[in-house]
Amino acid sequence: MPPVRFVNVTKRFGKVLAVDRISLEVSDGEYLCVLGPTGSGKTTLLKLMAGLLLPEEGSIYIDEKPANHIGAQDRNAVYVPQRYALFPHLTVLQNVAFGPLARGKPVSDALEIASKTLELVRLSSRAQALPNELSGGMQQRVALARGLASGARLLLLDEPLSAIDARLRLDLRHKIRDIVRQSGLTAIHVTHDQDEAMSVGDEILILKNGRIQDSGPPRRVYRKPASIFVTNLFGGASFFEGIVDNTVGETALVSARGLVIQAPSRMLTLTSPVVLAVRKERVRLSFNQPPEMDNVFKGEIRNIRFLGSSNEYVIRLSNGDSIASRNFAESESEFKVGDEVLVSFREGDVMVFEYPPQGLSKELEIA
Amino acid sequence: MPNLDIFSVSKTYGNIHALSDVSLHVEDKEYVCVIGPSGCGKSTLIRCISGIEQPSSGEICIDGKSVEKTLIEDRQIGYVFQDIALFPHLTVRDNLAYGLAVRQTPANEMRTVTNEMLGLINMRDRARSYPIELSGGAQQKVAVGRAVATGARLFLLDEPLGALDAIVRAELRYELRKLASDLGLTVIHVTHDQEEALSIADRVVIMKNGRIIEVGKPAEIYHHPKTLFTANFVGETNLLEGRISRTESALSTSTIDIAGHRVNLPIHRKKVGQRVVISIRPESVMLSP
Repeated sequence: MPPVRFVNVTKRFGKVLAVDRISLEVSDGEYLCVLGPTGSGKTTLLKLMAGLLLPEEGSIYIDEKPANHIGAQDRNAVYVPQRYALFPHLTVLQNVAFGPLARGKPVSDALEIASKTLELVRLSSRAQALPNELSGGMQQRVALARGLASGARLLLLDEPLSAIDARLRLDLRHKIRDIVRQSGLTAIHVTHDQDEAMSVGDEILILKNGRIQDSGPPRRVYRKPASIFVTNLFGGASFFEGIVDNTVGETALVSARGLVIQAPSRMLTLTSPVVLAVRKERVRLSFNQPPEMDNVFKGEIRNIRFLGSSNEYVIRLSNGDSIASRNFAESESEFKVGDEVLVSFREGDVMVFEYPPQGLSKELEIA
Repeated sequence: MPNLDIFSVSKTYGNIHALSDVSLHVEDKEYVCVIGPSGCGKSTLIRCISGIEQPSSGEICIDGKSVEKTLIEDRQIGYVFQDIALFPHLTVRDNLAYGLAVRQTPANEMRTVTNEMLGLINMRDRARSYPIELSGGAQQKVAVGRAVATGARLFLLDEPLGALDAIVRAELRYELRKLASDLGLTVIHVTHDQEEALSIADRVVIMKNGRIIEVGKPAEIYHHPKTLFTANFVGETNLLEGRISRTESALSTSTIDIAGHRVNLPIHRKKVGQRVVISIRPESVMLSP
């Protein structure tokens, strides 16, 4: 039984369409990540699920029961807000025990649930502290623990990790994921961090201007994104504008400002304007001619960005366009700024999109 | 022009040691990123440099001169933090001119400096926009520009990109770095985003419990951390405990016994029987069927 189903749900704030005719279904036990830029409607979507906002149009079903007019307290869902909203006069333990107490558990049980949950978020040692004695990240973990301890089956997490240290965030995101799975909960996790969405979501849903741009398992969305916007938001890529010059069997030859790029020809018609996209990690750099590469171009390294586990290069191609390459395999960069290199990628790694009516740069705007 | 010296600075709040014996030298035009877990003292450090907080002991010098007696407004420090503090009722141009106006700069000079600044932050076409019409990233550039216009060359950035979307943040950090280079600024940039620090800093400072644990170039910090804390804190890693079972001084290698598995590593100056922890980055681990 799907815990959440939306049919053509619309929510307006004055003239602003925050959520625009959204239909979706979340399965029982699913961990759904909702990704989108600021103002894309993520939080509104979550609050509609929570019952904190009511829709103007469309139907919301919670556990298959019409829920358009069912308030937050009757939904078996808990909304964990971005800004902790802890009770300032209660200790950490008391804050977490609040939910179970409110649901009628005896005090001793509530406190036991609370201490177990605090262990999960690694805050047992601060159980007796007051919220304002904790750092922001710690407070967020308390808020999370309070949500987990509430006993609700549907966990609605609004940017649960955004205020937490990067290093701890990496550990915690998997931890939350595990806790949700072990407890058999269903979770909707709103984030603007694509890595977070990619690594923890069973499914992801990408929003822009209140509309769904793409949805599916992260691997599918990454490999076959529905649009230029989704490609850019989810993983990023280098983009080229071009025109289909010729098609030979399954290969299209696309002329892009002086370069001829081989791309898969699926459904392309001659002379149609297109946008090509190549993921950074699919672009190889070498000094010598690489074997078995369909697309090889000369370029000059303009920038090298050290990212720890990888190096990212920005290369200027002979036609003036830039392409990015990310190399995970090398520990020290073998290239330096100014080097003339060969840039190569396979035809199968080129994604092809119809040229957007408003132009490429408009499509790449995030917010 | 500004270089910064921090000599043995400590700061206590009651029994809490927010900073303990912190020393750091920052070169003119250097871009230093400070990272560390919440509560490590990174914000306290820059608050002490700015003059908002007074160190309990130790000395801070800008260009060799102690700042103890210099008022905050005379330190010529640009301070930019996460919550963007532009005047909402002023245009970009007027925000940039504000500091100059307060100092009663003549109108024509003010116009020249403001124009120059609009060019430097690449926002000539947004001069008449109000902050609310700009993206968060663009607003932060105006905040930097405003401080530069008043003559600040030493910049303290406290999570300047913290409020922005991940994808915008990634691009903006390079713009911010370029702006600092173009303007010749000395920058201390506090962040909790290690990738941000690694990708733009000349040097990275790692802090923990009010102390500096390690300072180094990004690649040194990542590939050759001096401490276990740094290895674990910066990037992801696998930590394995073991014991040295054999050393081969001629080859400078040691054999380490890790739960019954023998691993040879190019380390020396360790004694047989010594307990060690080895760290292996995930990208260095290969899987095969």
